[in-house]
Parts: sequence; C-alpha cells; structure tokens
Amino acid sequence: MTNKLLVVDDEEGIREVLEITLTDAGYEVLTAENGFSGLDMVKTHNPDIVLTDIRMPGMDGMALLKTVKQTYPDIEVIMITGYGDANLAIDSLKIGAVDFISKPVNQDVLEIALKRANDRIRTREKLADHTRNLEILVAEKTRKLAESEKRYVQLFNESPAYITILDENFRIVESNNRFKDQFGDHPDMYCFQVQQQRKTPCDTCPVNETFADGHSHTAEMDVTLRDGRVRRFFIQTSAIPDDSGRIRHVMEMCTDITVIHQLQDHLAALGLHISSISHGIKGMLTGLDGGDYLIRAGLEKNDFQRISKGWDIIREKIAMIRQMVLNILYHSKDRTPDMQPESVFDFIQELVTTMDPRIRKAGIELILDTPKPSTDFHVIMDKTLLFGACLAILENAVDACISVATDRKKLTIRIQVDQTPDQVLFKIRDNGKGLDRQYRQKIFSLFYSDKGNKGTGLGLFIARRSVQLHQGEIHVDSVPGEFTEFTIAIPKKASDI
Amino acid sequence: MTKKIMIVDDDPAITKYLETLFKDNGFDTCIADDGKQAMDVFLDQQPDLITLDLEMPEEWGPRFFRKISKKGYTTPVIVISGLSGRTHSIPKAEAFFAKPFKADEVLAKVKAVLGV
Repeated sequence: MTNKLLVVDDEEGIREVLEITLTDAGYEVLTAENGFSGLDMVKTHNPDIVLTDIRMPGMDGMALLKTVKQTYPDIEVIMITGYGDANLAIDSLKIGAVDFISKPVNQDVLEIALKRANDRIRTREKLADHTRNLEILVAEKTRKLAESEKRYVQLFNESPAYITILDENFRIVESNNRFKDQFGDHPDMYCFQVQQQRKTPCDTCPVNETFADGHSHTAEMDVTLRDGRVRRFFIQTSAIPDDSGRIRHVMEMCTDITVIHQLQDHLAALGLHISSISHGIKGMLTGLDGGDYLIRAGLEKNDFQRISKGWDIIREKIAMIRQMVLNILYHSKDRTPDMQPESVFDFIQELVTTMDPRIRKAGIELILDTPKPSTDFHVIMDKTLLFGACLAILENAVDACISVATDRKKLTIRIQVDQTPDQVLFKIRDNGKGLDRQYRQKIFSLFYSDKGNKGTGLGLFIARRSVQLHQGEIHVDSVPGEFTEFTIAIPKKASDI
Repeated sequence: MTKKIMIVDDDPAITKYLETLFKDNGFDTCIADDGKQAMDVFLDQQPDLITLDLEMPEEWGPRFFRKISKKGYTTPVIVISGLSGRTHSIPKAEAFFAKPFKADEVLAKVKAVLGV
C-alpha cells in the first residue's frame, strides 16, 4: 500500500471528507487548497499520489498535473472533475493522469482509481527492480566476459608455441607474443617473408592446403628467426571459418623441434655408423677366413709361401680391426679436440696436395690467397678435424664447378686465409652452380645432399661438427648461378678453446 | 677344358682367398679390383663365371653386370657381398652369398653352376 497522498482542492469540505476517508483507508494524507500550495507540498513531501481538483483558482489542476509529471514523473495523479469537465478529463489522461473521478466523489470509484494508481506504482517499482537486477547481471556477465577474454588472450600469448592467424594471402593478421618476440611485430607481415625470407609463398604450404580443403595439415620446415638463427619447426594448421562457413583465416601453430631433430640426426648418425661398422666387420671377417684358409692349405701342402701370405692377411685384418675400434671410440664420445699449434702454410699445402689431382682433372684454376712461408703463422687447432672439414668443403666446391663446367669459360676455386683480432678465417669460394637460400639453410643437416646419389649428406654435417668442436662457426654465402663461399671461423687464442 | 672364374672385389685379401680356393679346386681365375677394371678383364679373359662384389670404388657391381648384359653376355654371376640387404641388386644372379661366406657353400654353388 502506498503511504503518502496529497489532496488538492479549493473546497475545504471536499478536502476534509477526502482526508478522513483516505486516512481511514490507511494513507498518510496531506492537503492543499490550490495548485501553487499543492506544488509546494509535492516538493517538500514527495507524495506517491496526488488527488487534485481540475478547476481551482490560480494554478488549476491541469497546470499542476503538467508540472508534477514533468518534474516528478513517478508521482501518480488522479483528477477530480466536475460536471461538464469530460473533455478536460480526457486531456488529463493524455498528459499523464492515471485516472479521473467525478464529483461528488463516489467511494467505490475513488478506490478503483487509487488501486489503478497503486498498480501503476507497483509495476514501475517492479520494472525498476528488474532493471536494476538486469544491470547487475549485465555488469557481472561483462566482468566475467572480460576476465575470460583476458584469460584467453593470456593463453594465446603464453602458449609454448608460435601461433599466427593468416588470411588467404598469407598475411599475418594476429600473432601471439612468443611469435612477435622471435619474428617481430610489423603490420602487413607475410608468413613466408618473416619465416622463410621469401618474396613469394612457399611451394608446399600447410596453410594453403587448409584453405583448400578445410582440414588440418602438418609440415616440418626450417625457419629463420629475427636474430638469424635457423630452427626446425613442426607446423600444424586449422581452419577458422566465419559464420557463413567460409574459411577466411587459418591458424598456424609452430612448435620448435630443433632439439628433437638434432636427436634424430644423432640417432640416424648412430644407425649409419653401426651399418657402416657392420659392413666393415663383414669384410674383415671374410679376409680373416681367407687368411685362415691360406694358412691351413699351406700347412697341408707344406707351402710356406701360402702360410706367409695367409698370415699377412690375418695381420692386416687385425690392424684394420684395431683401427676400427679406435675410430668407434673416437666418434662415440664427445671427445675434446687435440689442440696443437699448426702452421697455416703447412695446413694449406697439405690440403692443396690432397685435392690437387681432382681440381686439376676437373680443369679448375686454384687461387691461393694464403700465408707464404715468410708470412706464415700458427693456429691452435685439431688438425685432423679441421682438415676433414676443409676437405669436405673443397670436395663440394669441385662438384659445384663440375656441374657447370659446360657453361663456364673459367672455373675457379679460391682459398683465402684472413685474420681478425679474435679469429682466423678460412674461406673457400667457388664459381660453380651456387646454392639458393633454401639449400643454404639445410646444407649442414645430416643426410642432406643436393648431389643426388653422388652425395652422402655427411660431409658438411661432419664439417660443422668439427668446427663446432673448435668453438668456431661455419657459414655459407652464395648467389645461385654465381658463387658459393664457405667461411670457417675459429677462435685464435688457445685459451678460447 | 678348365673353367675360368673371374673374381671382382676391391679387397685384395678376399680376391687372394677366392683365387686360392678356386685354384685349389681346379679352376683358372682372373681378378679385377673394381667395377671399371672388371670390364677390361672380362673382355680380355672371357671367364665362364663371375663372383662379384657389390660395393666397390669407381663403379659398383650391378652397373658392371648391366654393362655386360647389354653387350649380350650371359655369363653366370654369383654375388658375394657384405650388403646382405641388397640381394635384389642383381636379380639375374645365380646366387647371393653374404660376407663372411662359407667356402664350401660357395664352391658347391660354383661347381653346380659350371656343371663340374
């Protein structure tokens, strides 16, 4: 029940009757004799319902209604009309009165009008409550949504993978923090640009396949980070369709599997090693059988020459087995290089002597820009390891020249030795077929060879390992069709090793 | 007439072994150290049977076999190799012996193929 009610009427009798009746009905009743004093009462007491006569001197009921509704729209106003006020009564409803009753006031009609006013007040209150609840609910949901979004963004950014969202042109439209850290964060980046340093999309691309068929695809690729390091990535893709089902974006998730790949290399190397050892042992056993046969046959026939020959074979095979066992021990451990000061002049001379027959046979001019006896200096190195590395590069250089022998007027290989304050640089440059970037990235991988059946994919892999054992670096620079230059840089001081 | 066996292997210990084994059993022999030299020796000596290693420097066994087959020769070949997984390398070979082989088994096969 509404508590406060204001009666405005210029007739005192009516005010009194209504005050008594309404007080009995449970209202706190205020009264005013005209529109102005009624408005003052509204301002000071803020009643819930105003019951006002239409016709009053000064400010009449209609003016009061207008003012109240403009200023206090929640106050319900009931108009009291006299005979002939029907049109005014209807106008009052248009302005906002909840109802009107006519004089003389009928008790039942008054109750109905008050009930209507109270219903409207309650409905408004319910609506206000509902609106308040709704606002609270929306605020709560908004907070949860924001938290959830923040959480997903955090998961996206902190995921232990490199995540990008790509459009149909392979443009990176979104990427997580891990990706940005390693590849940069520039607008309008294309994945093939930042990951492969290419100007055009890759030939085989799992993203492209996902755009084509909507399925998830995988691939393994070598990618170059912002700092120039090359890492092996396992790539998985998934389609991100829009509401119509059309695939407008594809998510690419890359995991760095460099360590696993290195382990695979090691395992493969081990397998290869075992296979090679096994093959060698078979040959040696056959040789030992041969020696045994010759000795037995010699003993039967008293043929000393045979016995001697057989024994020679057995001795030779024993020596081979000894060497093989030493080799196995040499390769199976992380051995410390046998670092000794070596003359660069002697080193290069030995290298040239070893390779010269092949270089000469291929018609290649060898240019030496290396120390002479007068300018010779010593470098701390494991000569066997470094010699093997240089030999592998030279073998590649000769093959690269031979492959373009028919197109080149002059084939050259240049060996150069430079010094910096900290390093000694061995450079081997050929004007052979050259290597494109993709090959340059893979060239030091185990079993990678661009020489078809002629290459084992071992030479440069072992060369890099040998250089790494010197705490050194090996780089390759090349322009396809023009040249390839390998640089081995090893620290100069013995204390650096 | 004494049958002639050509031994092709890059390991001198093994060629000496087979040479002695075959000679002790009444065969003539001739030797080639690698696949390339094998062609010259083959054409010069015209052997009745070849024992052929697979993996050799310069030219590997199957290539030599293809070359003589192309020239129309049908000389029987017995493969003796450490590459035990390569029995299919010369499908037309009479037999494949993996190193280390058993001398009496090789000898028995040689005799069977040559019909002696």
